[in-house]
Amino acid sequence: MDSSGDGWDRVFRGEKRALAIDFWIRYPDYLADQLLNLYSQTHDSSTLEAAERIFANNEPDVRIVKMIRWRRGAYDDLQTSLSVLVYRGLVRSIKRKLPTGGYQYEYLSGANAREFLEEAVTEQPTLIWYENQTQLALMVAQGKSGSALKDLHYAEEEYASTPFGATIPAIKHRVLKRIAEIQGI
Amino acid sequence: MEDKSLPTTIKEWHTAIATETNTSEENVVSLLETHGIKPQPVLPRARTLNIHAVFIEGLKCAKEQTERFDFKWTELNDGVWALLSEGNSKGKSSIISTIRAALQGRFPGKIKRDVWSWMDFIKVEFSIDHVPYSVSIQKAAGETDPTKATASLLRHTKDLVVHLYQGSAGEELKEAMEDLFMDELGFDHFHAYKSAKDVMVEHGWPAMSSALFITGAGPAIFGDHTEDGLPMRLIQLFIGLPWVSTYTAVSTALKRAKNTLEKATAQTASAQAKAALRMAELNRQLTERRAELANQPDRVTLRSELNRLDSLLSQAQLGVTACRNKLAATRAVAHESENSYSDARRQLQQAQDEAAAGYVFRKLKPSCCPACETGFTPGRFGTTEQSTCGLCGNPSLHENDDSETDVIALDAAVGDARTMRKTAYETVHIAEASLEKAETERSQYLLKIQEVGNALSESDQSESLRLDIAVLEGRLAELDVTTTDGQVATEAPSMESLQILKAAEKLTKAMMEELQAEIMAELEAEVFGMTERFGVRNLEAFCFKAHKMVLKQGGVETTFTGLNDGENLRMRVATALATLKVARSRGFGRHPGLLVLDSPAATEMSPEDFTALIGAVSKTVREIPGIQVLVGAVLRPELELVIPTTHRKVALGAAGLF
Repeated sequence: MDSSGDGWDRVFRGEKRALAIDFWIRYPDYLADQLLNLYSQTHDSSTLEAAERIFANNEPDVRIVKMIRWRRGAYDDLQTSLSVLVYRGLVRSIKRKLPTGGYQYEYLSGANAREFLEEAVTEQPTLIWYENQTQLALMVAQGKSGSALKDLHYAEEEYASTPFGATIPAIKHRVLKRIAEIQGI
Repeated sequence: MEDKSLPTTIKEWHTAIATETNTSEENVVSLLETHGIKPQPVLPRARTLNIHAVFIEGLKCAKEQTERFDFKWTELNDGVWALLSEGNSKGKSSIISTIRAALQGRFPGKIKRDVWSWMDFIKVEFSIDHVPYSVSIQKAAGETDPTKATASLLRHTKDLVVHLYQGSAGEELKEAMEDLFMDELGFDHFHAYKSAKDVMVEHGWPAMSSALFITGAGPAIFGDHTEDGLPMRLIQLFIGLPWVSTYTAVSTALKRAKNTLEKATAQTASAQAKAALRMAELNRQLTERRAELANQPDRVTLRSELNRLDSLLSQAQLGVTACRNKLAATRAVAHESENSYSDARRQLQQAQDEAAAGYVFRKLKPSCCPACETGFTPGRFGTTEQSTCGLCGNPSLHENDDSETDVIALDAAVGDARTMRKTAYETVHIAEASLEKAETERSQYLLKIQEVGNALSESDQSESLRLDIAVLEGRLAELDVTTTDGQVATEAPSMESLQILKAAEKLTKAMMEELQAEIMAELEAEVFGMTERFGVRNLEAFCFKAHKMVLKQGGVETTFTGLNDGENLRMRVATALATLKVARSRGFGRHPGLLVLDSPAATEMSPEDFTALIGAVSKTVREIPGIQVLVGAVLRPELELVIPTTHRKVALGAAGLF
């Protein structure tokens, strides 16, 4: 990002995108499923290993933070979480008008955030999980747009068939089975 | 047999047989009737057959010339009559053969084929006991098939001509002639039994009539046939021995009955052997079945066992159901404990993360207003120690123990949940094991029940086995009955009937033999005398046996077939004449009193012997009224002395008789 002063030198574009990625942090089994998709496309063993690790660490049981499906998907009010970060000067959210006429949220960060994160991890090593998981989620997301990521979500049958107002179910067993099949080959 | 005179009447005969066999007269009578045995005690009355006229007409074909001929020889009566010619082949034999053919009803018989074809009309007039008959044949000249000729047999009584036969000159004519002569001369067919072929052969008029014709030497001393002891039987017949045909019939019947019995016995023996084999087989099967039955399982025990197993099964089934339910429950509990455990861990993790995040976040100084995000002026918040709250300056950050307490509690909760989970899964394992055990137990009962069920359904065999056994026992009982009876097949004659036949034969033979011995002695003497006179040399002894003649000639014993032709002929003539003489002299006998000699000198006879022969014939004829001898001979001076001119039919020179 170009230096626009005030120390903001990174930008994350798209609320939808953020929420989509956030979903995968909340549901490790869905993340594992996407990792397996990646594996079947790339045959990169690291993706398979990552998926296996998720299960080895019981993350689908322990790390799951279930969400309710709303009409617009697993929407959670990002603003509440963001305000904590904004307040402490770690993130700044802006709303930019697009040439198409629509709006896009963008989230700026900088050296403060980076330092904070480094310190946090050093001080509370257990928090490294969030960093790792985020990396995995970003790997899955690649450079795709928020809509594209949403499509990935809807591709999961359990997600798509969850009635509005109901909790999105875990897919732990299905993914386990899938891993077993892949391992069996 | 006691010393009393032999029976002479039928009644006496029946009585004697009945006494001998210890049975009733009714039995004897009915048995003899069954076998067609007719008693013949009555000595037959002599009947006389004479030829009276012979007519032969036809168309003689010789050397491409046809010539009508017309032969007559009429006014013949008793006595000696001759057909004479100066040489041979003058028709003598043809005429004699024609007479024979007519009497036998067999055309062409011994008539030469060409001569037969020339004839178109034949008539022979004869009489039996002075009752005139005529048999005539008509056919086309040139025709040789007798069935194409018509024949008629007539009886001429005072004013009436009775047509006894009209029809073809084939088989039917033969039968008609046979019927006539057998009836009129009082002959019965007599029988011979050929055991090899198991057949009864009947001899009738052809055999009997052949004894009336002598044409040179022959194989038999009397008649033309040697089989079945015919010569002797014919002699006996003509001499008129009573009971002869009865004896023959009895003897034949007895032979046949014995044969049948032998065969039946053989059959019985083999039938018995078969039965024995069958019984052995049935017994074997019976033993087998009984053993099988003994091995059948006890159905009652099996059924009660089945009931017991059934109740055990249903209990086992209940056990299985209970275990299943228990297992389901434990699994549910385990599942819940799993969830609780997950929940606890999750909560713990969250609490831990929140605590950790709280620590790091709380130290941060605000950089803008949380409400409106307006930035604070730098330095508004002074640098503080790390452990104080960046916002409010509260120093006791780490004194907030609530979160720690929560974590500890949560950790404990996780521990509890883990323990619960472990216990729950252990319980599940125990329940699974129990279920397996219960199912195994149930399977075992099922298996046992199946085994018993199979055994029960198999043992149905005991019913069919019992049935088999009953059937086999029944069959054995049946067989037992039939074999212990040891009956001979029912078609075979009974022992009683055999006894009766044996007794009848013996008795009849005895009766016959007595008279026969007498008569035969007389006959032998006559024959012996005549043959000597005819010129048979060196004859020392001679007697008739049952089936042959025994001669002693020149110190050597010989038989009839050992004689030369001349001696043969002379013996035949002697026997024929002697039979005639004895038969007539006794006042009975069935010899019809006709003799036909064809060319007796043709075979080695010296004129002296021939004269002696004709002389003897003449003498015999003179001694016995009514008899007739026809002779066909070459003309000789010796004959002129013996045969009056009126009794001659002569062909002089080259001319034939016709």
